[in-house]
This record gives sequence, C-alpha cells and structure tokens, in this order.
Amino acid sequence: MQVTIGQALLVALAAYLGSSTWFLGVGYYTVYRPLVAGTIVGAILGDWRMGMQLGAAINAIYLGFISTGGTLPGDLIFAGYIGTALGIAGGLDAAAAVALVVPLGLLGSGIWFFRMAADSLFVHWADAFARKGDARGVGLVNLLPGQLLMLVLYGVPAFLVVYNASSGVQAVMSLVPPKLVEGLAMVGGMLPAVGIGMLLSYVATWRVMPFFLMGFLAVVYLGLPVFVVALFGLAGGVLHIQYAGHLSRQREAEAATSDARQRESTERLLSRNDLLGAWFRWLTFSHSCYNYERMQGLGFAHGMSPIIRKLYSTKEQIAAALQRHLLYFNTEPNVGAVVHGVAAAMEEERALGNTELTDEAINSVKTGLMGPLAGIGDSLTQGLITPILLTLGIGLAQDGLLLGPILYVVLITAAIVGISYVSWMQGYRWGKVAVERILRAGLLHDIMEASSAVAMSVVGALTATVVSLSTKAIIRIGPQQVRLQADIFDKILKGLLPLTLTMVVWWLLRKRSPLTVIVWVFVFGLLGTWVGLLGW
Amino acid sequence: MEERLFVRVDDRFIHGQVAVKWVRHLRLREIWIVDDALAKDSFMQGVYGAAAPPGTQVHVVATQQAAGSIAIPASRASPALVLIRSPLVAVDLLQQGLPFSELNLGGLAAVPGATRLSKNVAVTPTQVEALCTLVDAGIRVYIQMVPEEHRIEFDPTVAKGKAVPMNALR
Repeated sequence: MQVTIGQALLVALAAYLGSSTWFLGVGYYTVYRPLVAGTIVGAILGDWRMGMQLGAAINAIYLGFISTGGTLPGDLIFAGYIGTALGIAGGLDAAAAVALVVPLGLLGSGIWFFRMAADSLFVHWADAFARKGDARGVGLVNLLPGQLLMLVLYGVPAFLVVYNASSGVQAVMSLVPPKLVEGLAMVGGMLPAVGIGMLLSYVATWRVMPFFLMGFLAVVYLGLPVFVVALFGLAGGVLHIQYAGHLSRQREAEAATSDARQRESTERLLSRNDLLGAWFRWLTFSHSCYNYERMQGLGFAHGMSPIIRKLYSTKEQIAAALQRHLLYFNTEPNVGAVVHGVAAAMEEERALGNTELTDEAINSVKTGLMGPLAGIGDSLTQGLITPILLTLGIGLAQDGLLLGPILYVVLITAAIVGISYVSWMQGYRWGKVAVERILRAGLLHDIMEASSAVAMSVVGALTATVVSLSTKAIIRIGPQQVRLQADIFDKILKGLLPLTLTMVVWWLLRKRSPLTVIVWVFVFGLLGTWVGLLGW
Repeated sequence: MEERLFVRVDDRFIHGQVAVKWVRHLRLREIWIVDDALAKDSFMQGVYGAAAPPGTQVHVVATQQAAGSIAIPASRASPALVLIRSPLVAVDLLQQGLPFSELNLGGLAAVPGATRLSKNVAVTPTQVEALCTLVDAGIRVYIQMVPEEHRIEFDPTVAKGKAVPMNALR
C-alpha cells in the first residue's frame, strides 16, 4: 500500500510519543512496547488487526528486554513503530517482518546512546536555574530540551522510512531471491526463541522450571489458551510458596525487631496536595531527561520542586535544596519511588529544624538506597510483571483480539502506578524505615517467587505458540521413506524442535551476547533452508 | 568464568544490573561487599541483605578484614562476587593477598574532577593511579556493565592521556 504524508507524519509522532515522558510514567511499559506500537501503527495505516498481530510477533523477540542502568539491547521504537509500518506498507508476512525488524532495532540503539549523552548537556542548564533558586526553570529544563531532541531523533527517521516504505520494501524484496525470502521466514519463526531465552536467563531457576514445562505441554497437548495457563501457573505458584514459605517467615521474624522505629517528629508542614504533586512529577518525569552524567538526577529535583517551594522561602534555601537534589541519582523508579518519598520526609524534618539532616546526610541516604531498590525493582517490574502481562497480551493479540493490547495496557498501568504510589507514600510516612518494611516484609519475596511461577508457565506456553522450527528432511531406509518431522519428531513430542531450539538458545546466551546468538540464528536458519534441511 | 572471585567496582553495589543479570550469569550464591562505611551501618546492611535475590547471601566486611573473611568458593562453576566502591579498595585487597586476577569496572558515577572512561565509568586521577598499579601487578582490568556487553580493556596509557577532567568539557 502507499503511505500518505499524513499517515507518515502520524506514525512519526507516535514513534516520538512512544518514547516520551507524557504517559504517567507508564509509557515505557505501554506505548513503548511493540505489541501496543503495532496496534497504533496498524490503526493509522488502516489495518489495526494486522498491525497488532505484527506487533505481537515482533514483541515476542523482545520479551527478554530489560533495561538496567540505561543499557538497551536494541531499540523498541524502531522495531515496533517503524518495523510494523514497513511490514504493513510492504505487504510482508509476520515471520519475514520479524526477521527484518532485528537489524532495524540494532540500527536504532545508537539513538538511545546519543540521547543519553546529549541530555548530559541540558543538566547544566538546570544547574544554572538551580543556582538562581528557580524551581520552575529546573522543571522546564527537565521537560523541554530533552523531549524536543527525542522528537527529532525518532520523528525524522520514522517519517522518512515510513513515507518511502512501500517502494523501499518492494525494491529490497525484489532483489532478494525467493529462496532467501523462505529462509527469512524460517528465521522469523526462530527469533522469538532469543527473546524467550533472554527472559529465561533472568527469571528461570530450577525451583520454577517445572512450570515452564507444564505451560509448554498445556498448550501443545491440551490446546489451552495462554490466559488459562497463567491461572494454572498462579494456582501452582501460590501452592509453591506455601511449601517454600519458611524462608519468608524467617525474614518476617527478623523484621519484627526493627518495626517499632519510625519518623521522630509528628509535626507536618506538607499538605496532601504537595505530596501528590511530588509523587506525580516523579512518576511521570523521572526519565524525561535521562542522561549519563546524572541519570535521573534532574527528574529527582523536578519531582522535589513542589516540596522545596512549600518548605523554603528564601532564594538561597531554595537554590541549595534544588542543587542537593540535582546530584547523580539512579534507581528503578517505581519500587524506588520510596526513596523520593523518604527524601521528601527528610526535607520536611530539616525544615522543622532537624540539624542532623545535612546535605551530605540526605544525599547519603539517597545514594545508599538507590542501588538495592533498583535491584529488587528491576527484578519485579521489568523481570516479572511486564513479561507476564505481555505474554498474556501477545497470546490474545495473536488470536486477533483487540482485548490483548488493551488488557495489557490496563493491567500494567494499574500495577506500575499502584507500586509507585504505595512505595512513595510509605517512604514519606515512615522515612527510611519504610525501606526495611517493604524489603523485609517477606511478602515481596513471596510475590516474586509466585510471579516467577506464573512467568515460567506463560513463557512455556508462549514457546509453544510463537517459536517455530521444522524440518522437511526425508530419510531413506531401504525402500522406505521416513519424514523426519512427521514420522519421528512429532511422534516423540509435538513441538520438539521449537522447545530444543529455545533450550539451546538459552544455554548459548550464558556464554554469548544476544547479538552473537541472533547472528547464529540467522546463519542457521538461512543456510538450513537453502540446503533443504529446514522447511515446512 | 575462569575465576573463583569476580571482583567488581560499582559505587551502587547491588542494583538492577547485578541483581537481574550478573547473579544469574555467574550463578552467584555469595556476594561480599567490602566497604568501611557500610560495615558500620547496620541499617543499610539489612537493606542490602533483603534486596539480594533469593538464593544469594550478602556479607558486608570492612576493608581490613576482607582477605580474612571472604570465603573462596571451592568450585569455579559458582564464583563469589566481591563488590567494592573504588579501585583503591582493589589495591588494598591485592596487598592483603586476596586471589583475583581480573577487575571488572561496572559503574562509577562522575564526580568533580573525574575523567570519563566509558558511558558509565568515570575515574579520578587517584583512581587512575590505582588502576595502573593493578595493571602493573598483572591484574586484567576491563570495563563491562552487564554480561551481554563486550568487555573493553582498560588501557593505562590512554587513561593517563585523557587528563582532561569533566569540568573542562562543560
């Protein structure tokens, strides 16, 4: 199909918004993901169903996508927005589109690094506003320059590629021999094994591996929908933690000793609105100007600005407060919201006259807590909740149901906003003791262990539905012809090859980088199809 | 992994990169944080202990007690992770005779006067000195934030040449 200028502009805008800061802090979990991106691009180009299904297939490769400390393996905006648009406009089927998206994602990852480096410059503009005691100025620097830069970095290439998509893809595909197209489709079916393998390398432990096998078999032999598999996983997970529960009860006993402490003063200067304002800014804008020099430092100061304006009146006090919160800060922003809440509480106590809370004391609490909370936060939000819900969404989307992306967006938004709100308010109410309460309650570990069980079940189910690999080799034994796939592999275990591929990829990822493994998948898939070993 | 002790410089000690990626990649069971400030802070010790992924034990020791306390794992299949705040601590560990031959530079936030070696590692002149001492002693020093990244070898001559501190670049 021919893409109009208007459609290309809309896709370009959507590509920017997908990476922007305007979605209540959940953009990274929703519009950034190819499942959602594909549906949006599909709607713009007039075929939401095809876009959604392409997006779901693309998202399966990036199921193990976990960004920690600003490291990104591939760029989901290029893969999701530009990839789906190319697939629809060029009339590609899902498997071929998936194979083309991987190099596209790698091409885009340079943009992320450029942005992180360039944003380092803007932080110094914020420093200048902070020295003048201008809290609004600090907030504006957090919001505007970095976001404008992103609009250009993503919008321009997206527009150019998408506007020329149909002619470009056709020109490229006309050069590619049919045999290679067949090979690319084979590779496209194999690539989700890399996404699943990456996820397994973060989540899988021998304790929860049985759930993977059960999820896989439930789909292959019982034909259960992914959603039902997830419920079985949940039931199993709850049973699992009841048997393994002694761990958490022990932790609770340890925690009991420290539960008595809480914040010393009971006087409060901050109103409910001040707290909500600070939480909301942190939730929404923590990564607006994410950069290598201070990471979330500017987002932190921006979030503190309503608190600072309320607590301090002189220009010098405001300037000093802004400057102490502009320092380097980096955590997982949702569980880590507790640190922002703790910082708000410390500022309040300082304003009430607690002289122990020097700049250094406040900063050392922040920098001390940011690491461990990122550890637990990344494991929980990016490592468990996101892939579980994504797998559900992908499963529904592949059946052609718009419910897939919608349910995913609703559930992940509720989870992220809920975690952020509870963490922030606990941090404010209890001070740094809140961290101990959250971490040591034992509940969190139980939730994580049960979630791993659910994750393993749905990932096993997903392996059965999205990874494909088959051989068309025929072995001659005397006068008899034996079809390797139908007569041998399928008799042993349906889905034997996809399962084996996934396990091999998982094992390879222990030793090799994902990029290397992806290259091997391409070589194996293309060569195998070329010599007639692989095929349908 | 060739070594029984995986020594990493990371000023955030345990965070997402460590908890999500390295712990699984190295099959870690034991994490030793060598840090004098943390050794005196029982609250933060509790936080680190609770933040460690299930199945991993976190120990905190002061620098002077490090070599005497750190238990060397019997098998190379499951090394122990030693986390330190600065390369200077690594020099101390080496002098105490802790057996390690590689040093991973994982994350060092930029402080005034620091030189950036990579996007996540910035070192002060004293830290460069310490790293050069380690290289001279035969330690292989490399930058690698997460397992899926390629290692970048630390080159003493290049690092010394980059004498432009962060402030001058602004």
